[in-house]
Amino acid sequence: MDFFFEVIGAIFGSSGFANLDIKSAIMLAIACVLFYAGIGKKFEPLLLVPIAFGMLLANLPLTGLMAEPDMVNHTVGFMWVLYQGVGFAIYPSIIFMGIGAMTDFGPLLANPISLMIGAAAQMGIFAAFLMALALGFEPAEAAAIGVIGGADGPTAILTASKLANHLMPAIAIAAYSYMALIPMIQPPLMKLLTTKKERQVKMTQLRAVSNIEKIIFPIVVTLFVCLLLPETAPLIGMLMLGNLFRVSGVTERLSDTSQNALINIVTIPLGLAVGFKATGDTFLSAETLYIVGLGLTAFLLSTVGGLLFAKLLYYVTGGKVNPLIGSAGVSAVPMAARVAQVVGQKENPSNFLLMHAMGPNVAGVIGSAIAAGFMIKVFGG
Amino acid sequence: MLSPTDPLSLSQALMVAFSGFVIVFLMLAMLAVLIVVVSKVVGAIEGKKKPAAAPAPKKAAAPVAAAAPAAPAQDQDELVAVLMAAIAEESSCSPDSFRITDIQSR
Repeated sequence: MDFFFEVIGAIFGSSGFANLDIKSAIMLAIACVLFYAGIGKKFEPLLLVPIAFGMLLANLPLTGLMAEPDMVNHTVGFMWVLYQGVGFAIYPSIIFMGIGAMTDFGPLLANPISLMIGAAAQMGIFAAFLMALALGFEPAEAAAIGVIGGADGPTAILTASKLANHLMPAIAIAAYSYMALIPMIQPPLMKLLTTKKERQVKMTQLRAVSNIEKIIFPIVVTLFVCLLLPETAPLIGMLMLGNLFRVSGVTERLSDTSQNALINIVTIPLGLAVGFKATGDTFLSAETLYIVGLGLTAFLLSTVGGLLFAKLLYYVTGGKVNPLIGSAGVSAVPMAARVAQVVGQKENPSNFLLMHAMGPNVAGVIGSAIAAGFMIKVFGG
Repeated sequence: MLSPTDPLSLSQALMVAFSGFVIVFLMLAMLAVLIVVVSKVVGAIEGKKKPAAAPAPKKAAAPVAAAAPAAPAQDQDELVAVLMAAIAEESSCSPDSFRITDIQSR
Protein backbone atom coordinates (compact mmCIF):
# COMPACT_ATOMS: atom_id res chain seq x y z
CA MET A 1 0.00 0.00 0.00
CA ASP A 2 2.88 2.32 0.79
CA PHE A 3 4.18 1.74 -2.71
CA PHE A 4 0.79 2.73 -4.16
CA PHE A 5 0.77 6.06 -2.28
CA GLU A 6 4.40 6.60 -3.20
CA VAL A 7 3.56 6.22 -6.90
CA ILE A 8 0.50 8.49 -6.62
CA GLY A 9 2.62 11.05 -4.77
CA ALA A 10 5.36 10.86 -7.40
CA ILE A 11 2.89 11.27 -10.26
CA PHE A 12 1.20 14.23 -8.60
CA GLY A 13 4.53 15.77 -7.64
CA SER A 14 5.74 15.74 -11.22
CA SER A 15 2.41 16.84 -12.70
CA GLY A 16 1.48 20.28 -13.90
CA PHE A 17 -0.95 20.72 -11.01
CA ALA A 18 1.84 20.60 -8.42
CA ASN A 19 4.00 22.96 -10.47
CA LEU A 20 1.34 25.54 -11.30
CA ASP A 21 2.35 28.87 -9.80
CA ILE A 22 0.12 31.87 -9.19
CA LYS A 23 1.35 33.78 -12.25
CA SER A 24 0.56 30.86 -14.54
CA ALA A 25 -2.87 30.50 -12.96
CA ILE A 26 -3.61 34.17 -13.60
CA MET A 27 -2.46 33.79 -17.20
CA LEU A 28 -4.79 30.81 -17.64
CA ALA A 29 -7.63 33.01 -16.38
CA ILE A 30 -6.63 35.75 -18.85
CA ALA A 31 -6.64 33.15 -21.64
CA CYS A 32 -10.21 32.27 -20.65
CA VAL A 33 -11.18 35.96 -20.81
CA LEU A 34 -9.75 36.10 -24.33
CA PHE A 35 -11.74 32.97 -25.23
CA TYR A 36 -14.83 34.80 -24.06
CA ALA A 37 -13.89 37.91 -26.08
CA GLY A 38 -13.18 35.86 -29.20
CA ILE A 39 -15.92 33.25 -29.05
CA GLY A 40 -18.59 34.91 -26.94
CA LYS A 41 -18.20 38.49 -28.17
CA LYS A 42 -16.74 37.62 -31.61
CA PHE A 43 -13.89 40.18 -31.27
CA GLU A 44 -11.42 39.21 -34.03
CA PRO A 45 -12.12 35.51 -33.30
CA LEU A 46 -9.83 34.24 -36.05
CA LEU A 47 -6.88 35.65 -34.16
CA LEU A 48 -7.98 35.87 -30.57
CA VAL A 49 -8.95 32.19 -30.35
CA PRO A 50 -5.51 30.87 -31.41
CA ILE A 51 -3.77 33.58 -29.35
CA ALA A 52 -5.80 32.58 -26.28
CA PHE A 53 -5.07 28.90 -26.85
CA GLY A 54 -1.38 29.61 -27.29
CA MET A 55 -1.47 31.52 -24.01
CA LEU A 56 -3.25 28.60 -22.36
CA LEU A 57 -0.63 26.12 -23.57
CA ALA A 58 2.28 28.44 -22.72
CA ASN A 59 1.24 28.66 -19.09
CA LEU A 60 0.81 24.96 -18.50
CA PRO A 61 3.96 23.89 -16.63
CA LEU A 62 6.40 21.22 -17.79
CA THR A 63 5.07 20.85 -21.34
CA GLY A 64 8.44 21.61 -22.93
CA LEU A 65 6.62 23.04 -25.93
CA MET A 66 9.01 25.98 -26.16
CA ALA A 67 12.18 23.90 -25.66
CA GLU A 68 15.06 24.95 -27.89
CA PRO A 69 16.56 22.33 -30.22
CA ASP A 70 18.62 19.68 -28.46
CA MET A 71 20.92 18.19 -31.08
CA VAL A 72 22.15 15.46 -28.73
CA ASN A 73 18.75 14.00 -27.95
CA HIS A 74 17.31 15.20 -31.25
CA THR A 75 14.35 16.98 -29.66
CA VAL A 76 12.77 20.38 -30.05
CA GLY A 77 9.66 22.04 -28.65
CA PHE A 78 6.81 22.05 -31.15
CA MET A 79 5.95 25.66 -30.36
CA TRP A 80 9.57 26.74 -30.64
CA VAL A 81 9.45 25.64 -34.27
CA LEU A 82 6.20 27.50 -34.94
CA TYR A 83 7.54 30.57 -33.17
CA GLN A 84 10.37 30.99 -35.67
CA GLY A 85 7.82 32.26 -38.19
CA VAL A 86 7.06 35.14 -35.85
CA GLY A 87 10.62 35.63 -34.60
CA PHE A 88 11.87 36.02 -38.15
CA ALA A 89 8.77 37.99 -39.21
CA ILE A 90 7.70 35.46 -41.83
CA TYR A 91 4.02 35.07 -40.88
CA PRO A 92 3.17 38.81 -40.87
CA SER A 93 4.67 39.15 -44.35
CA ILE A 94 2.64 36.22 -45.69
CA ILE A 95 -0.49 37.68 -44.11
CA PHE A 96 0.29 40.94 -45.87
CA MET A 97 0.36 39.04 -49.16
CA GLY A 98 -3.15 37.81 -48.42
CA ILE A 99 -4.28 41.32 -47.52
CA GLY A 100 -2.82 42.57 -50.80
CA ALA A 101 -4.76 39.91 -52.70
CA MET A 102 -7.96 41.02 -50.95
CA THR A 103 -7.41 44.74 -51.45
CA ASP A 104 -8.76 46.81 -54.28
CA PHE A 105 -6.49 49.84 -54.68
CA GLY A 106 -8.88 51.29 -57.31
CA PRO A 107 -10.38 53.93 -54.98
CA LEU A 108 -6.87 55.05 -54.04
CA LEU A 109 -5.79 55.28 -57.67
CA ALA A 110 -8.95 57.19 -58.53
CA ASN A 111 -8.33 59.69 -55.74
CA PRO A 112 -4.57 59.86 -54.91
CA ILE A 113 -5.15 62.58 -52.29
CA SER A 114 -6.39 59.68 -50.14
CA LEU A 115 -2.72 58.90 -49.56
CA MET A 116 -2.35 62.15 -47.63
CA ILE A 117 -5.22 61.19 -45.35
CA GLY A 118 -3.53 57.83 -44.80
CA ALA A 119 -0.33 59.68 -43.88
CA ALA A 120 -2.07 62.03 -41.44
CA ALA A 121 -3.65 59.03 -39.74
CA GLN A 122 -0.19 57.80 -38.69
CA MET A 123 0.03 60.70 -36.24
CA GLY A 124 -0.86 58.42 -33.33
CA ILE A 125 2.21 56.24 -33.96
CA PHE A 126 4.61 59.08 -33.34
CA ALA A 127 2.60 60.64 -30.51
CA ALA A 128 2.41 57.30 -28.68
CA PHE A 129 6.15 56.83 -29.27
CA LEU A 130 6.80 60.07 -27.39
CA MET A 131 4.39 59.12 -24.61
CA ALA A 132 5.98 55.69 -24.23
CA LEU A 133 9.40 57.33 -23.90
CA ALA A 134 7.98 59.63 -21.23
CA LEU A 135 6.74 56.56 -19.34
CA GLY A 136 10.25 55.15 -19.28
CA PHE A 137 10.25 52.63 -22.10
CA GLU A 138 13.46 52.19 -24.06
CA PRO A 139 13.42 53.86 -27.51
CA ALA A 140 13.03 50.60 -29.45
CA GLU A 141 10.22 49.48 -27.14
CA ALA A 142 8.50 52.85 -27.48
CA ALA A 143 8.72 52.60 -31.26
CA ALA A 144 7.16 49.12 -31.26
CA ILE A 145 4.36 50.28 -28.95
CA GLY A 146 3.66 53.35 -31.09
CA VAL A 147 3.04 51.21 -34.17
CA ILE A 148 -0.16 49.92 -32.53
CA GLY A 149 -1.55 53.31 -33.60
CA GLY A 150 -1.39 52.17 -37.20
CA ALA A 151 -4.21 49.71 -36.33
CA ASP A 152 -2.48 47.06 -38.37
CA GLY A 153 -1.88 43.74 -36.59
CA PRO A 154 0.78 42.22 -38.89
CA THR A 155 2.74 45.49 -38.99
CA ALA A 156 2.63 45.77 -35.20
CA ILE A 157 3.78 42.15 -34.80
CA LEU A 158 6.58 42.53 -37.32
CA THR A 159 7.85 45.73 -35.69
CA ALA A 160 7.68 44.18 -32.23
CA SER A 161 9.52 41.07 -33.41
CA LYS A 162 12.37 43.26 -34.64
CA LEU A 163 12.45 45.91 -31.92
CA ALA A 164 10.92 44.54 -28.72
CA ASN A 165 10.33 40.82 -28.93
CA HIS A 166 9.47 40.52 -25.23
CA LEU A 167 6.58 42.99 -25.60
CA MET A 168 5.08 41.31 -28.67
CA PRO A 169 2.18 39.46 -26.99
CA ALA A 170 0.89 42.60 -25.27
CA ILE A 171 1.36 44.64 -28.46
CA ALA A 172 -0.37 42.05 -30.66
CA ILE A 173 -3.28 41.61 -28.28
CA ALA A 174 -3.71 45.38 -27.92
CA ALA A 175 -3.52 45.93 -31.69
CA TYR A 176 -6.08 43.27 -32.54
CA SER A 177 -8.38 44.27 -29.68
CA TYR A 178 -8.56 47.86 -30.84
CA MET A 179 -9.09 46.77 -34.44
CA ALA A 180 -12.06 44.71 -33.28
CA LEU A 181 -13.39 47.62 -31.25
CA ILE A 182 -13.24 50.15 -34.11
CA PRO A 183 -17.06 50.33 -34.49
CA MET A 184 -17.25 51.41 -30.84
CA ILE A 185 -14.10 53.55 -30.57
CA GLN A 186 -14.29 55.66 -33.73
CA PRO A 187 -17.90 56.94 -34.07
CA PRO A 188 -17.86 59.18 -30.96
CA LEU A 189 -14.63 60.81 -32.17
CA MET A 190 -16.04 61.19 -35.68
CA LYS A 191 -19.09 62.99 -34.34
CA LEU A 192 -17.04 65.11 -31.98
CA LEU A 193 -14.70 66.41 -34.68
CA THR A 194 -17.20 66.99 -37.50
CA THR A 195 -20.34 69.03 -37.89
CA LYS A 196 -23.66 67.59 -39.07
CA LYS A 197 -23.30 69.57 -42.30
CA GLU A 198 -19.86 68.07 -42.94
CA ARG A 199 -21.06 64.54 -42.22
CA GLN A 200 -23.85 64.94 -44.76
CA VAL A 201 -21.54 65.79 -47.66
CA LYS A 202 -22.09 63.54 -50.65
CA MET A 203 -18.94 62.89 -52.61
CA THR A 204 -18.95 62.59 -56.39
CA GLN A 205 -18.51 59.22 -58.02
CA LEU A 206 -14.88 58.15 -58.42
CA ARG A 207 -13.40 57.92 -61.89
CA ALA A 208 -12.99 54.53 -63.51
CA VAL A 209 -9.45 53.18 -63.13
CA SER A 210 -8.03 51.18 -66.01
CA ASN A 211 -6.69 47.72 -65.42
CA ILE A 212 -3.26 48.75 -66.70
CA GLU A 213 -3.03 51.36 -63.92
CA LYS A 214 -3.95 48.70 -61.39
CA ILE A 215 -1.23 46.38 -62.70
CA ILE A 216 1.42 49.10 -62.78
CA PHE A 217 0.59 50.30 -59.26
CA PRO A 218 1.96 47.37 -57.20
CA ILE A 219 5.14 47.31 -59.26
CA VAL A 220 5.73 51.06 -58.95
CA VAL A 221 4.98 51.08 -55.23
CA THR A 222 7.36 48.18 -54.58
CA LEU A 223 10.14 49.81 -56.58
CA PHE A 224 9.67 53.26 -55.10
CA VAL A 225 9.01 52.45 -51.44
CA CYS A 226 11.42 49.53 -51.09
CA LEU A 227 14.24 51.38 -52.84
CA LEU A 228 13.72 54.39 -50.59
CA LEU A 229 13.14 52.49 -47.34
CA PRO A 230 14.40 48.89 -47.74
CA GLU A 231 13.16 47.95 -44.24
CA THR A 232 9.60 48.03 -45.57
CA ALA A 233 10.31 45.33 -48.17
CA PRO A 234 8.87 42.37 -46.20
CA LEU A 235 5.55 44.15 -45.74
CA ILE A 236 5.20 46.37 -48.81
CA GLY A 237 6.77 43.77 -51.11
CA MET A 238 4.39 41.03 -50.02
CA LEU A 239 1.38 43.37 -49.94
CA MET A 240 2.04 44.38 -53.52
CA LEU A 241 2.80 40.83 -54.67
CA GLY A 242 -0.59 39.74 -53.37
CA ASN A 243 -2.21 42.67 -55.11
CA LEU A 244 -0.44 41.88 -58.38
CA PHE A 245 -1.85 38.34 -58.14
CA ARG A 246 -5.28 39.93 -57.85
CA VAL A 247 -5.12 42.43 -60.69
CA SER A 248 -2.87 40.72 -63.22
CA GLY A 249 -5.75 38.59 -64.48
CA VAL A 250 -3.46 35.62 -65.09
CA THR A 251 -2.82 34.41 -61.53
CA GLU A 252 -6.32 33.89 -60.21
CA ARG A 253 -5.40 30.66 -58.45
CA LEU A 254 -2.52 32.32 -56.64
CA SER A 255 -4.72 35.25 -55.70
CA ASP A 256 -7.39 32.89 -54.41
CA THR A 257 -4.85 30.88 -52.42
CA SER A 258 -3.21 33.98 -50.94
CA GLN A 259 -6.43 35.58 -49.75
CA ASN A 260 -8.10 32.40 -48.50
CA ALA A 261 -6.21 29.17 -47.81
CA LEU A 262 -2.75 30.60 -47.21
CA ILE A 263 -3.80 33.47 -44.96
CA ASN A 264 -5.91 31.06 -42.91
CA ILE A 265 -3.08 28.53 -42.65
CA VAL A 266 -0.63 31.19 -41.47
CA THR A 267 -3.09 32.78 -39.06
CA ILE A 268 -3.11 29.61 -36.94
CA PRO A 269 0.62 29.40 -36.12
CA LEU A 270 0.83 33.22 -35.92
CA GLY A 271 -1.89 33.40 -33.29
CA LEU A 272 -0.58 30.40 -31.40
CA ALA A 273 2.99 31.68 -31.39
CA VAL A 274 2.01 35.18 -30.25
CA GLY A 275 -0.05 33.69 -27.44
CA PHE A 276 2.80 31.39 -26.59
CA LYS A 277 5.05 34.31 -25.74
CA ALA A 278 2.50 35.55 -23.20
CA THR A 279 3.80 33.88 -20.08
CA GLY A 280 3.22 35.18 -16.57
CA ASP A 281 6.78 36.45 -16.21
CA THR A 282 6.60 38.73 -19.23
CA PHE A 283 2.90 39.54 -19.45
CA LEU A 284 1.92 40.23 -15.86
CA SER A 285 3.61 43.56 -15.43
CA ALA A 286 2.83 47.24 -15.33
CA GLU A 287 4.37 47.43 -18.80
CA THR A 288 1.44 45.46 -20.24
CA LEU A 289 -1.07 47.91 -18.75
CA TYR A 290 0.94 50.82 -20.13
CA ILE A 291 1.00 49.18 -23.56
CA VAL A 292 -2.76 48.68 -23.53
CA GLY A 293 -3.28 52.34 -22.54
CA LEU A 294 -0.70 53.69 -24.97
CA GLY A 295 -2.09 51.55 -27.77
CA LEU A 296 -5.56 52.96 -27.25
CA THR A 297 -4.17 56.51 -27.15
CA ALA A 298 -2.18 55.90 -30.33
CA PHE A 299 -5.23 54.53 -32.06
CA LEU A 300 -7.42 57.46 -31.01
CA LEU A 301 -4.80 60.00 -32.08
CA SER A 302 -4.40 58.32 -35.46
CA THR A 303 -8.15 58.57 -35.97
CA VAL A 304 -8.01 62.25 -34.98
CA GLY A 305 -5.12 62.86 -37.41
CA GLY A 306 -7.07 61.35 -40.30
CA LEU A 307 -10.27 63.20 -39.43
CA LEU A 308 -8.56 66.57 -39.09
CA PHE A 309 -6.74 66.19 -42.40
CA ALA A 310 -9.97 65.21 -44.15
CA LYS A 311 -11.61 68.22 -42.52
CA LEU A 312 -8.86 70.38 -43.95
CA LEU A 313 -9.59 68.89 -47.37
CA TYR A 314 -13.25 69.68 -46.84
CA TYR A 315 -12.41 73.37 -46.54
CA VAL A 316 -9.75 73.38 -49.27
CA THR A 317 -12.07 71.72 -51.79
CA GLY A 318 -15.03 73.90 -50.91
CA GLY A 319 -16.98 71.12 -49.21
CA LYS A 320 -16.44 68.32 -51.71
CA VAL A 321 -14.75 65.93 -49.26
CA ASN A 322 -16.71 64.35 -46.44
CA PRO A 323 -14.40 64.50 -43.39
CA LEU A 324 -15.75 61.18 -42.13
CA ILE A 325 -13.54 59.35 -44.61
CA GLY A 326 -10.54 60.60 -42.61
CA SER A 327 -11.25 58.14 -39.82
CA ALA A 328 -10.64 55.34 -42.32
CA GLY A 329 -7.01 56.46 -42.62
CA VAL A 330 -6.11 54.00 -39.91
CA SER A 331 -5.27 50.80 -41.70
CA ALA A 332 -7.81 48.35 -40.33
CA VAL A 333 -9.15 47.22 -43.71
CA PRO A 334 -12.07 47.27 -44.41
CA MET A 335 -13.50 47.75 -40.92
CA ALA A 336 -12.59 51.45 -40.66
CA ALA A 337 -14.06 52.22 -44.10
CA ARG A 338 -17.26 50.43 -43.14
CA VAL A 339 -17.53 52.54 -40.00
CA ALA A 340 -17.21 55.72 -42.13
CA GLN A 341 -19.96 54.38 -44.38
CA VAL A 342 -22.27 53.54 -41.47
CA VAL A 343 -21.78 56.89 -39.69
CA GLY A 344 -22.20 58.79 -42.97
CA GLN A 345 -25.35 56.92 -43.87
CA LYS A 346 -26.90 57.63 -40.47
CA GLU A 347 -26.60 61.33 -41.21
CA ASN A 348 -27.76 61.03 -44.78
CA PRO A 349 -29.38 57.72 -45.77
CA SER A 350 -28.63 58.29 -49.45
CA ASN A 351 -24.90 58.76 -48.82
CA PHE A 352 -22.47 56.04 -49.89
CA LEU A 353 -18.99 56.73 -48.56
CA LEU A 354 -17.65 53.19 -48.61
CA MET A 355 -15.59 53.42 -51.80
CA HIS A 356 -14.38 56.93 -50.92
CA ALA A 357 -13.27 55.70 -47.50
CA MET A 358 -11.48 52.68 -48.97
CA GLY A 359 -8.89 55.04 -50.49
CA PRO A 360 -7.62 56.40 -47.16
CA ASN A 361 -8.07 52.96 -45.65
CA VAL A 362 -5.65 51.20 -48.01
CA ALA A 363 -3.38 54.27 -47.93
CA GLY A 364 -3.23 53.72 -44.17
CA VAL A 365 -1.89 50.21 -44.74
CA ILE A 366 0.97 51.61 -46.83
CA GLY A 367 1.47 54.51 -44.42
CA SER A 368 1.76 52.35 -41.32
CA ALA A 369 4.17 50.00 -43.12
CA ILE A 370 6.34 53.02 -43.99
CA ALA A 371 6.14 54.32 -40.40
CA ALA A 372 7.12 50.87 -39.12
CA GLY A 373 9.98 50.72 -41.64
CA PHE A 374 11.18 54.11 -40.41
CA MET A 375 11.15 52.95 -36.78
CA ILE A 376 13.00 49.75 -37.66
CA LYS A 377 15.59 51.74 -39.60
CA VAL A 378 16.17 54.17 -36.74
CA PHE A 379 16.17 51.72 -33.83
CA GLY A 380 16.83 48.36 -35.50
CA GLY A 381 20.51 48.47 -34.63
CA MET B 1 20.98 54.85 -36.54
CA LEU B 2 20.16 55.38 -32.85
CA SER B 3 20.72 53.05 -29.95
CA PRO B 4 17.60 50.95 -29.28
CA THR B 5 18.26 51.05 -25.53
CA ASP B 6 20.01 54.32 -24.63
CA PRO B 7 17.57 56.99 -23.42
CA LEU B 8 16.84 59.80 -25.85
CA SER B 9 16.98 63.44 -24.89
CA LEU B 10 13.76 65.41 -25.33
CA SER B 11 15.05 67.10 -28.46
CA GLN B 12 16.18 63.79 -29.95
CA ALA B 13 12.80 62.19 -29.22
CA LEU B 14 10.91 65.09 -30.76
CA MET B 15 13.19 65.03 -33.78
CA VAL B 16 12.59 61.29 -34.32
CA ALA B 17 8.81 61.74 -34.11
CA PHE B 18 8.85 64.80 -36.36
CA SER B 19 11.16 63.17 -38.93
CA GLY B 20 9.09 59.99 -38.99
CA PHE B 21 5.82 61.81 -39.53
CA VAL B 22 7.30 64.03 -42.24
CA ILE B 23 8.92 61.07 -44.01
CA VAL B 24 5.62 59.16 -44.07
CA PHE B 25 3.94 62.27 -45.50
CA LEU B 26 6.64 62.87 -48.09
CA MET B 27 6.76 59.27 -49.26
CA LEU B 28 3.01 59.05 -49.63
CA ALA B 29 2.93 62.46 -51.35
CA MET B 30 5.55 61.26 -53.83
CA LEU B 31 3.52 58.11 -54.33
CA ALA B 32 0.45 60.24 -55.04
CA VAL B 33 2.42 62.18 -57.65
CA LEU B 34 3.62 58.91 -59.19
CA ILE B 35 0.04 57.64 -59.37
CA VAL B 36 -1.06 60.82 -61.14
CA VAL B 37 1.85 60.57 -63.59
CA VAL B 38 1.15 56.90 -64.31
CA SER B 39 -2.55 57.56 -64.82
CA LYS B 40 -1.78 60.44 -67.23
CA VAL B 41 0.67 58.32 -69.20
CA VAL B 42 -1.71 55.36 -69.34
CA GLY B 43 -4.58 57.69 -70.23
CA ALA B 44 -2.53 59.23 -73.05
CA ILE B 45 -1.52 55.81 -74.42
CA GLU B 46 -5.06 54.47 -74.23
CA GLY B 47 -6.37 57.71 -75.75
CA LYS B 48 -4.09 57.22 -78.74
CA LYS B 49 -5.19 53.62 -79.18
CA LYS B 50 -8.91 54.35 -79.03
CA PRO B 51 -9.25 56.58 -82.13
CA ALA B 52 -7.39 53.96 -84.15
CA ALA B 53 -9.84 51.26 -83.17
CA ALA B 54 -13.33 51.07 -84.71
CA PRO B 55 -15.81 53.15 -82.68
CA ALA B 56 -17.90 50.69 -80.72
CA PRO B 57 -21.15 51.71 -79.06
CA LYS B 58 -20.98 51.75 -75.27
CA LYS B 59 -22.97 49.00 -73.68
CA ALA B 60 -23.83 48.35 -70.07
CA ALA B 61 -21.43 45.81 -68.66
CA ALA B 62 -23.40 45.36 -65.52
CA PRO B 63 -26.82 43.83 -65.00
CA VAL B 64 -29.32 46.64 -65.35
CA ALA B 65 -33.06 46.63 -64.84
CA ALA B 66 -35.06 46.88 -68.08
CA ALA B 67 -38.06 48.85 -69.48
CA ALA B 68 -40.27 51.72 -68.23
CA PRO B 69 -39.49 55.44 -67.79
CA ALA B 70 -36.09 56.68 -66.64
CA ALA B 71 -35.53 57.93 -63.09
CA PRO B 72 -35.87 61.68 -62.41
CA ALA B 73 -32.70 63.57 -63.24
CA GLN B 74 -32.12 65.04 -59.78
CA ASP B 75 -31.91 61.56 -58.21
CA GLN B 76 -29.74 60.09 -60.94
CA ASP B 77 -26.40 60.43 -59.12
CA GLU B 78 -27.89 58.97 -56.00
CA LEU B 79 -29.40 56.07 -57.90
CA VAL B 80 -26.15 55.35 -59.71
CA ALA B 81 -24.28 55.32 -56.39
CA VAL B 82 -26.81 52.94 -54.83
CA LEU B 83 -26.74 50.60 -57.83
CA MET B 84 -22.94 50.66 -58.01
CA ALA B 85 -22.68 49.74 -54.34
CA ALA B 86 -25.33 47.02 -54.63
CA ILE B 87 -23.80 45.47 -57.77
CA ALA B 88 -20.28 45.61 -56.29
CA GLU B 89 -21.50 43.97 -53.08
CA GLU B 90 -23.52 41.25 -54.82
CA SER B 91 -20.97 40.39 -57.49
CA SER B 92 -17.85 40.92 -55.33
CA CYS B 93 -16.50 43.13 -58.13
CA SER B 94 -14.80 46.47 -57.77
CA PRO B 95 -17.04 49.39 -58.84
CA ASP B 96 -14.26 50.26 -61.26
CA SER B 97 -14.71 47.00 -63.11
CA PHE B 98 -18.09 47.93 -64.59
CA ARG B 99 -19.89 51.03 -65.76
CA ILE B 100 -23.57 51.81 -65.55
CA THR B 101 -24.64 53.44 -68.79
CA ASP B 102 -28.39 53.15 -68.64
CA ILE B 103 -30.96 52.70 -65.89
CA GLN B 104 -34.53 51.76 -66.53
CA SER B 105 -37.22 50.84 -64.02
CA ARG B 106 -39.68 48.00 -64.53
